[in-house]
Amino acid sequence: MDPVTLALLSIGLLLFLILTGFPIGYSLALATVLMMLVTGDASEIRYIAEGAFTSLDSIELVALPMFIFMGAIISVSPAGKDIYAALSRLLPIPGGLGISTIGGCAMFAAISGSAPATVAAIGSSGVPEMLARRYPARLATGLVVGGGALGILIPPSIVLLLYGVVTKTSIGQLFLAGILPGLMFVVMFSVYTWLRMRRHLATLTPAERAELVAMEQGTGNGDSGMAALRRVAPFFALMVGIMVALYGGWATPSEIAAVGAMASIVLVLAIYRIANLSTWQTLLMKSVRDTSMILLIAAFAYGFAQFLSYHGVVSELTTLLLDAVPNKWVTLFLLWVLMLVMGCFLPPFAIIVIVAPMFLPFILDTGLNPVWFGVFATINMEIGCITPPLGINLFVTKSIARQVPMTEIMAGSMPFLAILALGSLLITIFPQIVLFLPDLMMR
Amino acid sequence: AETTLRFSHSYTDGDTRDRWADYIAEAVAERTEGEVTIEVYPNQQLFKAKAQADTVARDRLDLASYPLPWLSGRAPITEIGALPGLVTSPLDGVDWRNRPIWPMLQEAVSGAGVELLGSGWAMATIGTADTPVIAPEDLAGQKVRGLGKASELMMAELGATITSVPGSEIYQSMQTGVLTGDMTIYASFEGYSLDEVTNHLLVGPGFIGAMHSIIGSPGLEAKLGAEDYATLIEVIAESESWFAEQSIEDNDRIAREFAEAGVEIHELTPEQVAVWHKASRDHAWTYFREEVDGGAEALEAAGAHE
Amino acid sequence: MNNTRDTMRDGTSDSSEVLPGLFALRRRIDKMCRAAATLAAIGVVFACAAISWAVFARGALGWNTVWEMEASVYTLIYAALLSAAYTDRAGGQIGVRVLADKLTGRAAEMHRLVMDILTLGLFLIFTWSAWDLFSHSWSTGWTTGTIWDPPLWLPHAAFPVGGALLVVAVTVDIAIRIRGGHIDPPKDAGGH
Ligand code: NA
Ligand code: NA
Repeated sequence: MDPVTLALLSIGLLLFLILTGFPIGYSLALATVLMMLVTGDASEIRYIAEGAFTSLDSIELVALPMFIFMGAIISVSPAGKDIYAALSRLLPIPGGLGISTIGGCAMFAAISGSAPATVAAIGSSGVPEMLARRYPARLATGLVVGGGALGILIPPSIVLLLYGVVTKTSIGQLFLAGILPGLMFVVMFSVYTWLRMRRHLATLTPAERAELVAMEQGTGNGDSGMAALRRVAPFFALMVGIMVALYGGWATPSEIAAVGAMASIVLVLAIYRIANLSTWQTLLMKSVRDTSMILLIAAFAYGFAQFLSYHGVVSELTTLLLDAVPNKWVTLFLLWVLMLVMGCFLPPFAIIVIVAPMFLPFILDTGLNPVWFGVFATINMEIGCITPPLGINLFVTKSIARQVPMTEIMAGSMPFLAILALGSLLITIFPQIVLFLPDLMMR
Repeated sequence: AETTLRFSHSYTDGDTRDRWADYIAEAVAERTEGEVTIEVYPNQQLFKAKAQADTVARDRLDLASYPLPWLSGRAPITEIGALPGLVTSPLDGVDWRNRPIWPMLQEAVSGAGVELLGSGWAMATIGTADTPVIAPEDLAGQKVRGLGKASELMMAELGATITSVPGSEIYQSMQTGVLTGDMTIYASFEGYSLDEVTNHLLVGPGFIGAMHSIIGSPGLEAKLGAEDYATLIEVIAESESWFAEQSIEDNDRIAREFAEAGVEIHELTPEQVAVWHKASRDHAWTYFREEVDGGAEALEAAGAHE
Repeated sequence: MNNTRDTMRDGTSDSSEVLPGLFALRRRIDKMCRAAATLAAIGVVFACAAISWAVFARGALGWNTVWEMEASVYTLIYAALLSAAYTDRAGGQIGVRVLADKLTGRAAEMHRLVMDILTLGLFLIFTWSAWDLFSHSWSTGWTTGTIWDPPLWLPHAAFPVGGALLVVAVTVDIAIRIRGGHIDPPKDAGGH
């Protein structure tokens, strides 16, 4: 079977299984098994557990469950409420809470290298708060799906680091290069949130509007912002501590994830005095459930990607693309489309490791900057974290906001996806957005 | 009959170890007049780095370039592939094929389910962020990551704190001080861009080599037929000198580039190297001889002398 | 966690003792799944504590930290696998529910039965493959080859155990459904 047919068949089968309602993690595994029967690799079926072990046997993945756990701990405490009670006073404008969420994501992105971890940590307190204050469900969930994107753009970033390793591009420059585009997205997301909330308020009656504004500013619950601020101060101290630990060199990012979770346990016990065993049991069970779901998806996605790679699907498609088009901008556009399509089905890790080294010769050939391309690819990996069927940010958000239908979350994410796409265009037209800091600080 | 083999490795395109695989593929194609094609899959494209040995063992993959000590969980004496004070130049390593150690390693590696077909040595060295490590006692107080059990044991006994950090976190760990130094091969110093976070690099005569083995699947001989298999083995054996020379050139180039990037280069004198050899014998060899099954015999078979 | 209230569907007559027996078995299996997931949860806390300890020991005491990260990776592998059956039953596996939400009555029951049978098929294969993985590392006694160097079967054992638990749980569910019993779907199931 030629690679193109194989790709269409595999992806078609995967889509079919997912649409029948079979869980996504299982669909990835079953599609792999069935395709192995089709291609005459039945003997490979024996090794699917080994493939799952290989993909889970990775220190980089340790941080993910840790941040889920940390998010779960903070979410059972009133800390999330308090953070928003305190933050919303800083931004007494329509959408202030949403903008605070983006700010929270950006802050967390500066301590976390992964997008879903950012979604889990900020979303698990942010989404329930916004929903409680009558934000449209689409906006509340879309905000964290989009805000999570900052996780792998604002340094540290596992994706940029991997890109640097496989392409031998300076990781220091890559990290610096991610900062300005990250801030650019903070501004773009915030402006969108502000406009969207203004429109939302316009559809309400004056009474409802007053109530929402009051709720958003935390006056609705009668609690004083200062009291809330005092209670959350230790959590801000935790964030600062994490930053200091990371840049001050006390620990690696994975270690910081664990220490952060331990510190959260202590803070919740000490400040909120939640010592109720059944509460802890609930949050622990919720953490393992999400951990199991995400890790099984990660494990089986690796198997599926590996199967396609084994049959030369990825490399064949890339070669076809490079041979067919002469113009560098058209080719870049096609690469972009290809990354978006792959982003639908594969996790960023797999795409970067498989694709970046293959694309690099083309990038160097056409005179594009490899640091710039790393950031460009990362932004598009981010879009991949949002696009179904395999959009990890969507799943994490769904696991936080179980009452919001997936269709609503997807609809809410679309504007943020569009902003990310617009951002890719902007950095293509103005590459200085990416290269200004690395050029300034490295030479 | 025409046969296509899959050769997997975990190094980036253009890395010396990648060019080594290409070199073997070209030579085999030429000598078998196109009968045998070797497709090289760099960068963990087919299988993750550590998983390659298992896939070769089960005939799912024909060939892989694999750091020998990674097999130490299955064949303990393979730790000799990263034992400090033993192989001091890539050219030394080429001679292993002629010593009793070679059949001994072949047998041990067979026990781990794969065939040892060839080897190439890359020299390792020490790079640090703040204070230079020039003599063994300079390790005291450093937070380092080593090149396998024996070297980490040695450094720990010399007063360093051992921190296990995955490859992808070395850069950041060095930058932030989780690690103050790293002992690894030159290619890794370059590959992880450690010139940006390293201020001191030890160069000159080496005192620790790392053996990259070429492993083949148990069914490879049957798949190729005796004649083509013999050709493959011959090509791999001949490629070892080529790799050794490339590896030496590589180290010189990397040291030059690190110097240009502002890293202070410390060139070891023969006397200083002798001190490192003594430290290796006192710490790493003692461990290897006494605690590793078959370690004493392996050391002798490798021609190691006190 | 909310599957304890199992009801038999009106109209289907299974006057034998089989169905109540199956439901009793199901409750037991639920307890097993919860127990395994609780172990997994303890594992996550352990991993956090172990890594935190490593940071402290290295930073404050200058000790070597060589096993903590590796042990945590394996603990988290156990967390993912041991809780797989519990996660499945609690509706934690995320999927697209466009079709499921449109179906009612018999069609909905049939749909769940088919999904369960697919799950059973997949995890039978997975468990067999996992057994192969485990028995190989068990019989060879191979270790991970790191400085800590634990036996490989230790992390590998998570796979057949986790897979088998899921197989047993789904098999009982299928038996109940075929007998005409109705299992309430989990309240907070994933998907949409
Ligand atoms: Na980040
Ligand atoms: Na996607």
